[in-house]
Amino acid sequence: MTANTPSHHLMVRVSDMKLVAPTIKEFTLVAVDGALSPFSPGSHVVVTMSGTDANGKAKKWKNAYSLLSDPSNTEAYKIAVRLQEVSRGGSEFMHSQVQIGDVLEITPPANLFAPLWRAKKHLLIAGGVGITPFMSYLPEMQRQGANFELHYCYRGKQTGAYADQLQQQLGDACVRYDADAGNRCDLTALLKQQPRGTHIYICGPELLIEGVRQNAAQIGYPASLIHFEEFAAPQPGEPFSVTLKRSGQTIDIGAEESLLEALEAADLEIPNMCRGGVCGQCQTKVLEGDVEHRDNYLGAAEKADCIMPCVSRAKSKTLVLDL
Amino acid sequence: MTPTESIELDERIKSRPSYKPLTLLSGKQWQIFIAQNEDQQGLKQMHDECVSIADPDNTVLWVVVGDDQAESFKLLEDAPVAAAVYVAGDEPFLWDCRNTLLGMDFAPDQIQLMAPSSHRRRLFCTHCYTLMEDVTHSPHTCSGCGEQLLVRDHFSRLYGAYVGVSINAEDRSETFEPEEMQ
Repeated sequence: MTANTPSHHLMVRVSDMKLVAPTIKEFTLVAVDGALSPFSPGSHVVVTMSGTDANGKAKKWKNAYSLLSDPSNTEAYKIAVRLQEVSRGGSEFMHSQVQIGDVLEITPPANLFAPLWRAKKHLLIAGGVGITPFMSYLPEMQRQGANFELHYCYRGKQTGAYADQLQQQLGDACVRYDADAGNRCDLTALLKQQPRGTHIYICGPELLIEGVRQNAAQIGYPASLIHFEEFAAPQPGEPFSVTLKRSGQTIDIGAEESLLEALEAADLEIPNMCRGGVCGQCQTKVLEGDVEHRDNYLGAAEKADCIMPCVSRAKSKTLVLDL
Repeated sequence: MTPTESIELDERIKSRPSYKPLTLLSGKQWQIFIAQNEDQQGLKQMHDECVSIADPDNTVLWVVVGDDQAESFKLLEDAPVAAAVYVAGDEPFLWDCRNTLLGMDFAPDQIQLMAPSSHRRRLFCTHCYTLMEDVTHSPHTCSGCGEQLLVRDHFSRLYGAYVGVSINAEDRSETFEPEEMQ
């Protein structure tokens, strides 16, 4: 997998844009020059958005989005962006600033959520915009004749992108639950009826992921068969500052920005892939100070002297980093 | 994500399994106890405890694997994905069971192996590929090619066997007194 460093960026042009649900916009991206590479199902790209913040100051956002086009299609990539109710700026930018013809910078596809092809059966559980990685699973699973079922939970008034299309294409292999129409998925019943060898993939809000995991633990569904992807946006916190040991530089981190974003704004190149506390690429050594760990990556031992700057913050007023 | 393995490896020889005490997991739909024979007292105790605390709608199975292994495992064909399996017996038996279970699509993290009930080892000869049962001493004379085999702690999960290599390949006149293995 390629780390997200500037030399590996691709320039793409927005060739089409459409609303696919009340709060979800789909973007079709084509290469500015050269061709796009095929990718593996479940891959994502990180999109760099250059705009201005509320005070009119130049600001860059970088968000990870799953590729939802057919993985074998090298003509264009597609991503879908949900307008977040409390947007940190990224989804707002994608929804209101980006126009057809605009050029965006993306990383090459990286995959942290590939299906296990040897599984006897694949149970896909999507929540809202979490349908996106499965959009790239489905064509490949159909080509391979894999045994799969898609269970798609959404709120029809906000999300539910591609629901009709999926129902048509997949028939009984697609089960829809529109919470706004009063339909909810009975997770315990769903898990209990699965044959042995069924791997479960979940993508959606933390609540859904936790719901499946808790139900699974309760009935004794083996944890090794459960896979999930959650690109949690970094949550705000108290402002703090970091001192970089090697350069002596001090950087202030505002309440609304992540440490990784602040480091990048100061022109530091920190390898990163998911920007959501799961891939481990941006792990950074902490020499002094207390960390508020918010990632799903570091082990207990590593937490003693490391931080994942994409999501975690300082508990103390300052940190000294080995950078 | 890597499947969670219930078996830890000995640090000196990375492949030699070390066995943890079994943990009775509550709330599983099926609880399956597989014993090599009726002598597996520890497992029987666990099974009895499980029966006494299980929900009425949970299935608790006690399976003694007889000579017809295939017949015994037929009982598990209908087991749901949410099941816990506990196995007791000698070491080759444990790993044979585990491989059969994996072949039936049980996941590694739902199979717990009890510490082997004897020190007898299955031995794999690296020279002629013969498998030998009930090996207690090292070196051991290969029943296939006659080599004096040093029984290593190097373990194959697939064969449930330890690896044996010629102990006197450099100097054929060397002889060694067999020692009992732990």
